[in-house]
Amino acid sequence: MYEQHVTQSGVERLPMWGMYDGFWAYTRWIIYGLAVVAMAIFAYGVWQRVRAYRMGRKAEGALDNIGQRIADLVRYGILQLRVIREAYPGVFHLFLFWGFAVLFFGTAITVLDEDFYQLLTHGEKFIKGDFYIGLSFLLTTFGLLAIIGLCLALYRRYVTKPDRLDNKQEDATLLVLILLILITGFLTQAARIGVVRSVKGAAASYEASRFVGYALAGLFGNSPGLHKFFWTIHALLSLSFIAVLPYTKGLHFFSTLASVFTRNRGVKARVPSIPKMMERMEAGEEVEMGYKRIDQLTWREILQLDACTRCGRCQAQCPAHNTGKHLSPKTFIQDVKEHWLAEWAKKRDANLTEAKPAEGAAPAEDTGPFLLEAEAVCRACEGGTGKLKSQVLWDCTNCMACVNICPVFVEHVPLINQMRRELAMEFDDSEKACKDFFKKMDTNANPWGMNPGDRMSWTAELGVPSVLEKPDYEYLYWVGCMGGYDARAIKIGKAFVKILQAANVNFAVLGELEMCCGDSLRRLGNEASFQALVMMFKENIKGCEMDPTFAGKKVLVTCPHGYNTLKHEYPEFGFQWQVFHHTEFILDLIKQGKIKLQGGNGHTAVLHDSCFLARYNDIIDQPRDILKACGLKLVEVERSKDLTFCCGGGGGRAWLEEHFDPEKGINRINFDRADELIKAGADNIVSACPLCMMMFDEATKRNECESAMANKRLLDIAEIVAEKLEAPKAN
Amino acid sequence: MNIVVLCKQVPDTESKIKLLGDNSNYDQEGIKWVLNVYDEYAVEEALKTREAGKAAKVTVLGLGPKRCEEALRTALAMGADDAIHVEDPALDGADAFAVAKALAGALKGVDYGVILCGKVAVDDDMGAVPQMLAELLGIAQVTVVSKVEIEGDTVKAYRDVEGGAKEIVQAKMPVLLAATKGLNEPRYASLPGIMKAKRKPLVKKTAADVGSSAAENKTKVAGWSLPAARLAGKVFKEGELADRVAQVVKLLREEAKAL
Repeated sequence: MYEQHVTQSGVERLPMWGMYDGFWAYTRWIIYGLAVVAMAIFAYGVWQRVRAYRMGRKAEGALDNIGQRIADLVRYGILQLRVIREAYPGVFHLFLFWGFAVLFFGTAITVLDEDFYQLLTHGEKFIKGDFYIGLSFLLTTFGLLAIIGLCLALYRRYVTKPDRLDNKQEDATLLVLILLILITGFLTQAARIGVVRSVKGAAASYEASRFVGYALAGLFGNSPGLHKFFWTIHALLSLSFIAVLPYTKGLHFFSTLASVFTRNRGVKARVPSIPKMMERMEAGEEVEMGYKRIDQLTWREILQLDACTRCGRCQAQCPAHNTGKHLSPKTFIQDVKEHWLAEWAKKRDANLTEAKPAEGAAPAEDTGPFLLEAEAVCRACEGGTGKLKSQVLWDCTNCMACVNICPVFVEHVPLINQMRRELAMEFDDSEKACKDFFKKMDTNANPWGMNPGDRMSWTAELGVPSVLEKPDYEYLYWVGCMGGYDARAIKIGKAFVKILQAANVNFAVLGELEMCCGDSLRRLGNEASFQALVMMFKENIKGCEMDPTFAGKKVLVTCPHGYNTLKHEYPEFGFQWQVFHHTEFILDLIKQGKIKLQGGNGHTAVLHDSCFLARYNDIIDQPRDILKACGLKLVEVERSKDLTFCCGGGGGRAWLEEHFDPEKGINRINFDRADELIKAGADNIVSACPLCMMMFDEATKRNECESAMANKRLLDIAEIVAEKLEAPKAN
Repeated sequence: MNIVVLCKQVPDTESKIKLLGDNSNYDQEGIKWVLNVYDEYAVEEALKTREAGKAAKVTVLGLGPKRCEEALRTALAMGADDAIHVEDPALDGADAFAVAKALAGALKGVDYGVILCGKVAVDDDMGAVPQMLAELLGIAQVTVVSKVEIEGDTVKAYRDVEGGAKEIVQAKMPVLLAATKGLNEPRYASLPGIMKAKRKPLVKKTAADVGSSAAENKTKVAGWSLPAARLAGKVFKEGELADRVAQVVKLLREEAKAL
């Protein structure tokens, strides 16, 4: 019957081979039955997973702007633009993804043809002729690409073993399962072509479009039994694969796409707010401080946990991890995920066995189980804790390298900040330096606790008016705590004032009215003190009969932390100013010819991109353009632009102690980065952030840097420009 | 066993102190007020003792105008159970003795095993109230304490002595302990904590309730004077290194009298 069929169909419907051709007539119905079972198991798994996501809270705006979200899906899901940023894993993943996508598409239209069209038309097929040949070629090519991709993946994971990968059983299971499916697919193809060729001889040359099977066909000759054997194995493996997808790492096919689709499209630089926290507490309302239990996360945040495939790109970028600290963003996400799955399992089992608590009954909120395993948390917790150590959270510099590189838009930093809030405000689980910082901020609104009256005592000497003296100012120069108190940063402020005065800019400063912007406070988790600070600032401005919204005013900031905070975080509190970083503003002055710069002298410069400029605000070209306008030749370090390496001072870390134990491989972040910048060999090491400056000032003053720094200068970009200013021509 | 902690509100050490026109006192306008740092150690030690199960209740006691409530709220936010605030204009300008007598009066009927306080308040640096209070109450006192061990009704306190030595003093309760730096690392009272602490009981007492007033003063502040303004730093740039060092040493010895 088998051979007869081949002969007949070969003549009648050349070139075509049906999926079930040569099999027992009822085979297709057995396959249908198994397919329904596989899909039911698949659907149950997906449904359970979705239920588990719904443990989380509402995610505002996760499904708005559908058009943009579809574009994201194309860019980052289908074209995998973020995955391919890194060549080796990017390429093999692309092979795997596209191999799979095309094979899925091929299988889908074959099913359409064999199982619907053919049944409806009593034996007609639409896959025939040139279409058949083209499709065969396409599927064979992509199947082969997928195998190559798999081999590259296996080689990397089990032979080269990069640090950032941790191998679990689930990784091997998925890779081997896919490999077996692809190999049995090709074996089925080869065995079948062997049969066809032995029957038809040269007439079977159209099968050459399936070039892998065609090449291997000779191995099997005319053995219909082998074909049936491979076919059966391939079919069973494929159906099993569908069934187990949601229960294995295969789930990431869907969770990653869902995470890309629902990604946070808001300002990436913003710390999640606790709206009107102080007002609500004044009114006696119980306000949640941050995240301590898994069910406080939004469903999007939980989905992101599930989208993480442990690829380790975040860990490879993380300044804390790279200098031997406790934090690895990957392990952090995985620890939270593990806690989530454990809590979900408990919740699901409880739902099955126990009656639900009465509607409106107070949940046992403050007894855990909690995410964090901190001493203070354990004291308060009866329900057990996760394994997150508080130091893991404190290690983060909020540099955003992890969020920036994640191919599937997991947001580690906001999650860390949410949990820090519990440590800072609820459990007081922070180091002494952090508590001291909070106390100083609460009392005197600056990181050193210095007298607010001493802030920017230098501006008056340079003839800079205060806003009270010059209420019709166009630009407000926000000097910041660094510029107001720190001796090194004051020099930056003076250089910037020199530039503003040279360009005849109508500007003023707040003087004693200025307070800390609160960036470090907020990012260290002390949201209450941050909001209190902003409200006090507004009150003080009102008290001087000025407009507390600053509508129509433009603000210039020399510190990227202040810039980011005033620009992205203050509007929540009613501020309507326009905010510019000094790199943006200086470049404008140069372009408009308002300042004239002397030409170059052959010197070189290496730029350190501040995280809060390059990654938070996409300010990458402006400082480079300024340096070029100053006639400097730019030298780039490897970790630059949006892949810059933090100075170690972000996220409030500038005010905390940093663990340092070189013998155990624990370095300071600023040392690590300063060494890289020094090694670049440029005459000038340039930053555009006073916090980075403070960190590098310390790092470059180490004894071991003395000789390397002897012929180098560490400068802010404003200082470079101020040096190059041409003396104004007398008119 | 209950613990009472004495809390004083003082100007933040970064505050700029200006004197009133008649030099009778410093100007209290524009000053940031905080809980005396040594009292923070005392509060922390009391809370730790309670958390270790060795005390049942921590009461904080303060004396001063209305604004002193903030310092008491800070202590309540740190974790104290309740507060007593002695507030009366009749106590304005009270000296160490009048304050100690008022505090002793406020403690009448209060059950305590240990009184903890800072060894000194960083505003007037008098450091006299703890000793006077213990005397008025007729209880044991140990001052400048950097470590405390409590066993039953026995208190073992480690005193910091000049030169780094420790004197170990043992006393039976009730005892007054005056804390110094190094005793512990005080916890941070967050704003939400301070707001929640508003619900904790705070009892007010008047001068009449405590039986003291500024009229009991045994001393009188005759006047105030400010330190001379700090001179600008000097940088020695000229000449040979050895000469410059010699110059610096000479000035340190003769002018600054630091050597």
